[in-house]
Amino acid sequence: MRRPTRTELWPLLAAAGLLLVVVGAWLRERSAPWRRYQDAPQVRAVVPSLTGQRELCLTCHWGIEEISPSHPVEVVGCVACHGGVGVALDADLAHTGLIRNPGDLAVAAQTCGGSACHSGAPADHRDHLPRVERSIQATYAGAIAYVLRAFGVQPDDVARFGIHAVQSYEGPPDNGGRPVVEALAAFAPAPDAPPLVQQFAANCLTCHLSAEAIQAPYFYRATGCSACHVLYDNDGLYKGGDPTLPRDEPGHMRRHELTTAIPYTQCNHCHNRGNYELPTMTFVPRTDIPAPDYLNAIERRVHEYYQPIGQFTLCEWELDCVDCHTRRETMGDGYLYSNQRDARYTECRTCHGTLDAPPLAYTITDPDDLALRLAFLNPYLDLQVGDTILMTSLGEPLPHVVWRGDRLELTMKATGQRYDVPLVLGSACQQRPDQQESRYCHECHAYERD
Amino acid sequence: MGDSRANFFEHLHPATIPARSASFTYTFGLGGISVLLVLVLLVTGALLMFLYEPSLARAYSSVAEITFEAPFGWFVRNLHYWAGQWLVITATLHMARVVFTGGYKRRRANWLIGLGLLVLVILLDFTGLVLRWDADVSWALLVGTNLLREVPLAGETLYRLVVGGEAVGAATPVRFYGWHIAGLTIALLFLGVWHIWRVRRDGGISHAAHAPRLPRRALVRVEGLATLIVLAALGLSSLLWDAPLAPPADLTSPPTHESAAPWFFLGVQEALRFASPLLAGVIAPLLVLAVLAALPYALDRATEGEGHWFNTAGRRAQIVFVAVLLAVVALTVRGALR
Amino acid sequence: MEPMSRRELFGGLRKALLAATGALAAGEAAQMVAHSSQPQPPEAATAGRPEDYAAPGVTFVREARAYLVRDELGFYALDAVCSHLGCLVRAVGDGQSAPLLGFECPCHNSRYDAQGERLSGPAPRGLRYLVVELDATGALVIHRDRETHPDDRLIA
Repeated sequence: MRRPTRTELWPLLAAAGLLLVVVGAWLRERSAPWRRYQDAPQVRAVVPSLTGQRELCLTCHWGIEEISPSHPVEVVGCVACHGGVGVALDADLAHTGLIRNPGDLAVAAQTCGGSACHSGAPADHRDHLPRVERSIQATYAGAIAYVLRAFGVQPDDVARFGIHAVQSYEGPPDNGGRPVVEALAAFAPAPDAPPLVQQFAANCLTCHLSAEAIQAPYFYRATGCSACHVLYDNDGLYKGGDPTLPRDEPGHMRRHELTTAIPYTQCNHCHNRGNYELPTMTFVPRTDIPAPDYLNAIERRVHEYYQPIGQFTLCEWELDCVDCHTRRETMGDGYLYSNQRDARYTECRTCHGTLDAPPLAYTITDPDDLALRLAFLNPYLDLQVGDTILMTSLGEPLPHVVWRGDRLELTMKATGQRYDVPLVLGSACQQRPDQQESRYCHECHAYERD
Repeated sequence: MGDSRANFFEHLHPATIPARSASFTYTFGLGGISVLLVLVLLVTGALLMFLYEPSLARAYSSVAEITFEAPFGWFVRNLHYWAGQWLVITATLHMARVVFTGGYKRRRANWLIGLGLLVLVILLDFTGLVLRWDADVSWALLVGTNLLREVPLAGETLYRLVVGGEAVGAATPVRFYGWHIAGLTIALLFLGVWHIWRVRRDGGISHAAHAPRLPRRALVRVEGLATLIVLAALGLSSLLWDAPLAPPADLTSPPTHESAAPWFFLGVQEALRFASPLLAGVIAPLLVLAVLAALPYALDRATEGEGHWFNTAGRRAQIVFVAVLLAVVALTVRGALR
Repeated sequence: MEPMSRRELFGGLRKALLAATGALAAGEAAQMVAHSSQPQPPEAATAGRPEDYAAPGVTFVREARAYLVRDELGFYALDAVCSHLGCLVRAVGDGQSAPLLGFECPCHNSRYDAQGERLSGPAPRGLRYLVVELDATGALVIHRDRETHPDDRLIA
């Protein structure tokens, strides 16, 4: 027998290599990236009834909050709103074509839209998208008109331009006689426009629904529908249960949830942030926040809510913005308004009434009443057919202000806190019937902040 | 080892073999490696058949299920993919080795069978890639099948045979699946067995006249070692590099980025940019095949030089072969660099 | 015994490694083909409203793969899956034109009485007695994954 040589070694090494490869396959299988997001890893699949397509998103995002009670995951799923490749468990492939913020107005038509969803018939109150696209918060028409008038480009305050070109939409027939415009062109200053106007165009268009937020505390927010309906904390940190989202990285929503319980802090991501200085075309952020540490919670609220430039009554601090400002005011009613003042129509008498009459109200008789739907969306409101609730002068229901016997009770939409609403009727109020704007009420009822 | 009787693998070989068959630097084992890769493809393909569903609705999602959900599905799919791509290369290199060593001399019919095998391997690669029905293959599918229509006289019939209808639709994945696992595979096995049998009938790997012979054990031993090494290399690539998977195919929207043909058809795609579909898609590939087929019939009819690398008798055939190969490679590289 | 040569050692080691590799690979392949994402059939199915059913009567409820029987005492449900090898049994008598005599399996002739008790044939057990309930809207629901005893009736 010849002496075994080195040639006997190679098959042994090759066999060992082959064994290592097979063991390597087992190791790679066990350490698949998606397994690190769960304690007892398994593939989590959803087959939403709307699409019938299998989606594996929850395998990595196990623990994420359901977006809302009206968008259950068994019905809508994830891909219908967010896009992406639902059958993949590789992050790059799964996120191809992903829409991180379906509420952004550029994509909302394909995500939130659709005749059965939020681009539907006005009669069903399902026309959110066309209304929001024309709201003052989306067009920014007022700020643009003021700047153009200030620099002589246009002779008056009437809006002619918006962030996007848009035409009026057929809204409800009555808007209380407030002035409207038919169409807005896209704002793009000519090369010979005054330099400060061009600077305005370049630097100052940061507070409308399509603008990216300034990445700083108190400013963090999303765009589009999510700018209001997806809450961001002032520190911009994520506090929900999705294991793939970092908890220490500012710039994220508080939780993966849509809500109508919107606190004033959300509105203040754009409002009450500071002032524009026209001569220098700069934005001067307010410097008085955060409030000093020695203040208690109520004092902190009074300090941070509004900028120290105006007068407000106590209820304007105690309540959130959404407790007074209605859907037509904030989300638009299809008409194009020239500025914020024309878009608003809520007055103190909407809830408090006048010397001659209590506030306008109606009793719910239709089980499909909009007020019942709005109450369903809010965790603190509980309405039934037969309840008598307030309505605005244009007929918008206020589902959170309800007559309970002879008491008028307001429930805060964001916190559930309840208040008895004092009425002007039968009180010692010295108002004049033709002076119903809030500044007149402020003359006596203004609350002094420190 | 106590038992000196030949084992199963040795029995597959003749009792003695030409001396240089077992020499790595003579053949580089390319033919044998190609056979091994075909075996790997058959086994991994059989495993994939348990989970792949050839329908419009389920083609992509069943591939995704194999890749992401089935335990080791990714591994079997990667093995299948890399074995397939490597097979195109080893088959081509084997053909080159045969040209340069004059192996086609006195074995001209087997040379044609080998060419047929190469064509089948490429078609198998193409039909296999299409089955994943993702964005990367959908345009190649459309273009490739539309090119069939360019074939004179038989174009429409050929198209319907392959696509299963007037246009790419619900019948197409089923058809491609049928071609891939049965139609082309049976042809491959048939030609492959015939090819190997003819080699054996002709006295083994082509060799010089009066070459000495060795006992078969030497070849079997080195084949065993090569099997282990190739399998280990294939397994390692499958561990480290994944078979591609793009988002699902959508033939109703224009492609969002440059749509590239499969790498072995990049040359054809490049030619299609400046030549007519008939010329670039039908005539040119057939011309390449015709030239290759003619090598032992027209360019080198001599029997001298068989078994010697770069033998002088076959110089003309070798030069023509290199020219054709370089042309194809140049077009491919140009297409790849876009 | 003569000491093993190095060739024998390497050869033996090689065979052991290859055997281990083959076993592991076979195991991995088996795991792959054992995978299935097929959804399980639902464990509960609605079966209309009580007033849709005549008394007495027996109805095959397809989504529940069960027979819904209504007698003078109320509703009960029997699993239609034969306990032998899984065929669906047939009812003998529809409960209206002819009284419900029982159930019979067409595959191997197992027979059950009207309460699902096993009478004859290769079946090892009787038919399962399934829970029937009313849901929030007043519809009948048959639960395949919950069993009860033969005296149980849903009175509706």
